Amino acid sequence: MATNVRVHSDSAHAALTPTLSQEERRRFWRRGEPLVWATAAALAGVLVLVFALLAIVLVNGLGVFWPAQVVEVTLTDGNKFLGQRIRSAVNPDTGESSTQFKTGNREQDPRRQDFRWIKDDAIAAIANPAEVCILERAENGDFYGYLKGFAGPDLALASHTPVAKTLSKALNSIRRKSAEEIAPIAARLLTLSHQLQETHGKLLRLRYQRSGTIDGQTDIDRRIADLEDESREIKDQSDRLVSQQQRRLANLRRNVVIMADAAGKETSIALVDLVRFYNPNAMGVPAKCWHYLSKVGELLWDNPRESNTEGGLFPAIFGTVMLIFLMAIACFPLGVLAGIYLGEYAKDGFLVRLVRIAVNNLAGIPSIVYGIFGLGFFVYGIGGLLDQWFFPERVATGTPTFGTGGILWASLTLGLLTVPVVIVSTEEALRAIPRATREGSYALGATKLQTLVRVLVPMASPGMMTGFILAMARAAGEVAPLMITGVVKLAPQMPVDGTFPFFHLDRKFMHLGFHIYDVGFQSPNVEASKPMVYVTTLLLLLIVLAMTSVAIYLRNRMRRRYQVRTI
Amino acid sequence: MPTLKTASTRKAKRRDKLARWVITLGGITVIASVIAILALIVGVTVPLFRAPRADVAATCRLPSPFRRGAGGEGVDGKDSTASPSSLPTSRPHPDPLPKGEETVLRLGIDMDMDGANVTALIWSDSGTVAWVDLRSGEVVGREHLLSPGGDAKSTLRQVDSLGAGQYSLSWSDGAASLVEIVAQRANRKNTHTAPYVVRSLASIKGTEVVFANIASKTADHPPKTTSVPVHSQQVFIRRSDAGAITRAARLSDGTIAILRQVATDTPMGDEEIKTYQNLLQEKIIAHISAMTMDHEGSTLYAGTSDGRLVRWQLDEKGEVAHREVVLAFADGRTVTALALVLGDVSLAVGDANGELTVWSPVNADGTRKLQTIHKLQPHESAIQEILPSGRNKSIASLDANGVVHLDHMTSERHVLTIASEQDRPLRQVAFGPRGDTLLGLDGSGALTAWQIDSGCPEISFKTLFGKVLYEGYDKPEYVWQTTGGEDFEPKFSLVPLIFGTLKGTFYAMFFAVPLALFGAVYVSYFTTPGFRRTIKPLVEIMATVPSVVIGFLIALWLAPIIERWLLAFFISLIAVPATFVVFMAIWQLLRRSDWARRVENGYEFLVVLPVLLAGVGIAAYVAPDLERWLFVGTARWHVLAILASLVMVPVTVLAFRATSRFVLRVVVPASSLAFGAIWRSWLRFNWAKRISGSHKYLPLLAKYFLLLGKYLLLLSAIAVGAAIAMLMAGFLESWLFPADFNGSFRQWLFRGPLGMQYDQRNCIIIAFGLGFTVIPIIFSIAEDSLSNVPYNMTAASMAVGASRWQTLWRVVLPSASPGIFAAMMIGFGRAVGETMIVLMATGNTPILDWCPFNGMRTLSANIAVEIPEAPVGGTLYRVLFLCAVLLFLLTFSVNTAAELVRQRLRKRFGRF
Repeated sequence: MATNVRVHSDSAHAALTPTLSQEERRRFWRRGEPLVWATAAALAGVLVLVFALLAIVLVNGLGVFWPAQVVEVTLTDGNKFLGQRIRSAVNPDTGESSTQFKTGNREQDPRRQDFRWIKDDAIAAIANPAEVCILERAENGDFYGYLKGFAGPDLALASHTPVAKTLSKALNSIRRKSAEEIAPIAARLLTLSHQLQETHGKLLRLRYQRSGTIDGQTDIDRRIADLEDESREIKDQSDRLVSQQQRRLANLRRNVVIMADAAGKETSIALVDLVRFYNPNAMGVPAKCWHYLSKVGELLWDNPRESNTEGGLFPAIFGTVMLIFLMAIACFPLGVLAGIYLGEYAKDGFLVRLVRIAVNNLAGIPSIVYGIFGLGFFVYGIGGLLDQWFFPERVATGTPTFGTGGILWASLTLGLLTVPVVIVSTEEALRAIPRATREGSYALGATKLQTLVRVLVPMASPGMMTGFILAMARAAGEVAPLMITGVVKLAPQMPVDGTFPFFHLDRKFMHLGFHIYDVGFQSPNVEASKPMVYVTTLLLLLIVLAMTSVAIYLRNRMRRRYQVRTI
Repeated sequence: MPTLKTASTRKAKRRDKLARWVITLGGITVIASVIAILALIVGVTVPLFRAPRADVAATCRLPSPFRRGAGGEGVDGKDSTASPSSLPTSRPHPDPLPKGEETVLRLGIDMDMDGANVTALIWSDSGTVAWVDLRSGEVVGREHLLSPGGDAKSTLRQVDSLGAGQYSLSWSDGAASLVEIVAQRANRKNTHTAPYVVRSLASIKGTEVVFANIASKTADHPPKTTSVPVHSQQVFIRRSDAGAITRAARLSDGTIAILRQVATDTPMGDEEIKTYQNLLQEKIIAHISAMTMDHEGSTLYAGTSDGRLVRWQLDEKGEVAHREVVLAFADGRTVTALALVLGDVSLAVGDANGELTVWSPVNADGTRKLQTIHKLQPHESAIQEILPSGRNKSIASLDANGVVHLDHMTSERHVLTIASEQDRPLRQVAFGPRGDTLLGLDGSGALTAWQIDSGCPEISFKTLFGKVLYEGYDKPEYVWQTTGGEDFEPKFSLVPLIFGTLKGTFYAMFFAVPLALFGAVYVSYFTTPGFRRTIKPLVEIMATVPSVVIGFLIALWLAPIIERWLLAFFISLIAVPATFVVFMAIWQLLRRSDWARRVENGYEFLVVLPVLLAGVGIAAYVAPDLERWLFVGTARWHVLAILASLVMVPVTVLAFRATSRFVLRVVVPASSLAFGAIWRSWLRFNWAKRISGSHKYLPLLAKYFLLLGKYLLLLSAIAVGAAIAMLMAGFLESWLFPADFNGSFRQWLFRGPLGMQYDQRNCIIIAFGLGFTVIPIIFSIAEDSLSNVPYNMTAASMAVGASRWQTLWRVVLPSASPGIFAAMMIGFGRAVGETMIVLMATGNTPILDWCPFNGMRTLSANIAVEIPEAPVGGTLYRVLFLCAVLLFLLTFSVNTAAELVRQRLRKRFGRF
């Protein structure tokens, strides 16, 4: 009572005095307004985190392919180099500012680095030469320099046209020539290597069969001898082809473009090794956009180069997509089955409650635990058994087929990891449907199955879809279990290709998430690989966020439809 | 009631029934198989703790020409020649044995990988080595060796197994040789070749060394004619990896003759052989009861009959570089057996009381001294022989009762006791090269081979969770270190890993819980519904950001930034709350206007956002200057005085204010009285009379007097505060700034009083990374449980006049607290199991240190790091599965608790 009176007198006082009274100030604090503001600050902090992450990835990822100005830097000691400005930084201790340049020309740097930090004090002049050209090479990164001329037996070029145009012509002609001369050989070599592999497989099996018996297996011996001959023949043939290819390549390599670097030193670069060339200082915005798009195209459709730090991500994207796809096949039907059982068929009791807790719980089990389970159960357990049954000869030689990590085992492991998500979302979606709907269906004489198939599942489908998409998003971003069940940094062969039986589920695969880890952390040249990692990160983030956004959109639509809370 | 019985309804019903079965069966199977995960993972770890077994693989009688050598005291009355603990025999040349009687000196065993062939190897005193197929009892091959001394009559006196198929032989003519027994690759077509061949590695003729591989050279150098003057009791011959040959012979005159032959390349390109000789003449040598030498031939160990242990460290020339004598057993018991455990670092010591101890040079006060590092299970009788395993740190020991113990040194686990039948005690034993077989020759002359499945002997509860004194360490420690050389002692302490897991989780939760909970409170109670609809999906999206992305960003983007702006980071910890408080102070003035009031309808976070950023900005702006100002030079007294007075003056002023009531009640009346007394004496002056007579001036005077007193007191409080601050600054200076730190906060951290090493990948980074993954989880669950508190409770609270914060604090939070607890638990579970972030951003060093500036290794990252190198089915593999089990149990129990709480909450509010 006493406090009430005081409050009254306070407010009366406040109304009387024109200035802010001490009491009102006190009330602001006592009634907890600053704490409300503190909660607002916490939320603001969370939002800052989210947007900072997105901003970092977008800024660093989107800018990678944009052709930046190339400048010619003259140092105070008279040295010159060409490079693109990356960033500048101020040393907090000395107050000196310095700039990082991408200078390319890796083979000329004693430490084989693409980047250089230059103190701003050491820079005498910076020029923007228009004619500077960047050559993207298949090896050794970019070359920055000025076009000087061409040389080579296969180049018949008119010299009066602008040099850049000549270069593109020359490049085209060499590419055409290489497509004519070398590509068929490479294709032939590929088939030969497949044949060789097949023969080796057969040989292994026969040898294994023979080693089980003592003597007198002349039949097998003869076949082994035949196969050995065959493989020798294939080897000879491919050796011949390789030498032919090498000869032709050496011929092609004589066609070079002559480049001068900033110091004027001339270098000749074989045209065959060129991936792309461009002249950023002379490019307009449309040309830069075109360049950007072509780089994105390369990213999406090409194979990686230079130990994954350049080129495309196609195998990783393909591996990721196929992994999710296989995971979905394995996990969705089973998850839906279990969810329907829990939601519609299971009698509510202690056991079911326990199971529900367990299933909810499994979603919180660390992914590495699933990974190690996958390793123990799928790879060494089932895979080992399959090998013993079907490929005993490979086990004996230490090259297991299924008894080692592969895309099948990785996807099954991921399926196991995500099955709780599907179960829970299916069950929740079914439970969200009002009881009246079921009763209406039963009243019309429908059986439980009919109600389920015709009424409940269609109504619950957005919720189930949400579960699917969330499961897929989780699978796309999960890396730890893959690392021990078959992901590799560079897969020589894709899990799907043109050789029988087309799907090779035992093969190892590449993955965007692992690509980030591997290129970002295991790469010898971290600085040069960073742009690629940012691009990969952006790509992975886009895939996951797109999936999640679709899931959230679907869920909101479903909520609106039934006006019931789910999930 | 009649029902429709048409074909279609029947079909529908049939299908319905079928579907029920299929779905029930399928559902139960899926759930059961998912739950079977734990069972399987646990199943892999079970062999870690499984009881070891030894099964008799084969047994046969000793083939006819051989006769059991005496291992123990006189079972058949013969003098012992095999045991290293045997007393000297004074015969320079033992009598040639009767034909057909060959005494077994040493056994060896070899078993195929698949256990199909078990071969025993028998060395006899005639210089013969024979291979016996234990399954059939037949001699499958034999080879007769001659003494390198050239005396064809010379017999073998002693054979020592050095492991890996190497044996050192000592001949009756004083010569010694080192041989290696190599298994011949089984050739199916040609079954006549012996299964094994003997290869000579080195041999010594008397005192002269003959290299096996350059035997032709010896022809050019006529052998020295110095013969061994006295009979040698025990001879060791070793060949080091570099090819140097060392022979140590204990002679019957109480000396040890050391001969070392080193082959060096001369400048001409030839190989020159240098021979060094040395004679150890010490009194203690006469008391030696057991001796052994390491494989390199550089250290000689001896045990005496009065309980002492001696260690001679030999240098390149065979001279004693270091000598150490320890009284190992105060009761002076005889040391009966010595052997070096695999790796040649630790010495297993068996004594006459049957006790088995392991000794190792341990660093104490700068010198390395032999100390007991492990005590193994004692035998019932004197230990006769110790056989180290060639595979791990296990040792087998044979006692006088003929019982063999198998122990593991590191874990001090007694693995097995192997004994033949009661009346046939084992007299001689051999350990298989892979440590998985044991051959025993018992008193009745029967050979028995055991196949040992020792499981994972290096694992015990103590090695996993306790402190262990490892080889080369000075004190017992928790260490996780699994890879090293071949004879490396694996260290499987899970404590650093569990510690690392909890440490990372702790820092992450410290960062995430306040942000997530406060954010959830704000979203569910204070913001507008429109914002709520936008923010919730945003946080859900945050939850799906792949952890590898977060790990990459914090390790390669954030870590360098924090490293550079470390001081700014710490300043912002103060600056952000400070700007917030300042902003609040300004806000209470601003909020009187209507537009500002409107912000308080749920837009606060938009307004406060720039304030927080400003706080960070201020910190970043101030930090470089402050860092230079603080950490350049050592004369920091004035800086510290100002800083300290910034703290101390408010403290004393506050203390003064808190006590001001007391001051006014006691000090003022007292001083007034005193002043009154003085005033009275002044009354004789006119001016005083005038004032005291006036009603106008007197109260005014009193008031000013009071005010003056008050401000004087305040001033004195400030002065006291400043004085304390000055004093403190003096102490602080010598404590905080003992040296010049070149203007670097990190150097100060490292070399200053804190002594913390700053790693780029540390707990601050991890807190951000793990926090990012944990925040959305805690946020979502907490927000759900908060917004599920029935609205009528909130409304009732508001209706009785509570403010929105009071309602939240007193009404909503208590109702939702189980849900918030569940949210924190689930967040904890997620942080504990997160792998990629900690793998990428912790440095993965398994250390025990709470310091926030260094990294850690968590259980999950440990699995990811080590499993590619773990051989399937090996100890490491199983220990990693044990890590997974621990993780599973940790998260499962936490999640189950959370889930139970949530289910109760759902029941209570009847919604969700």
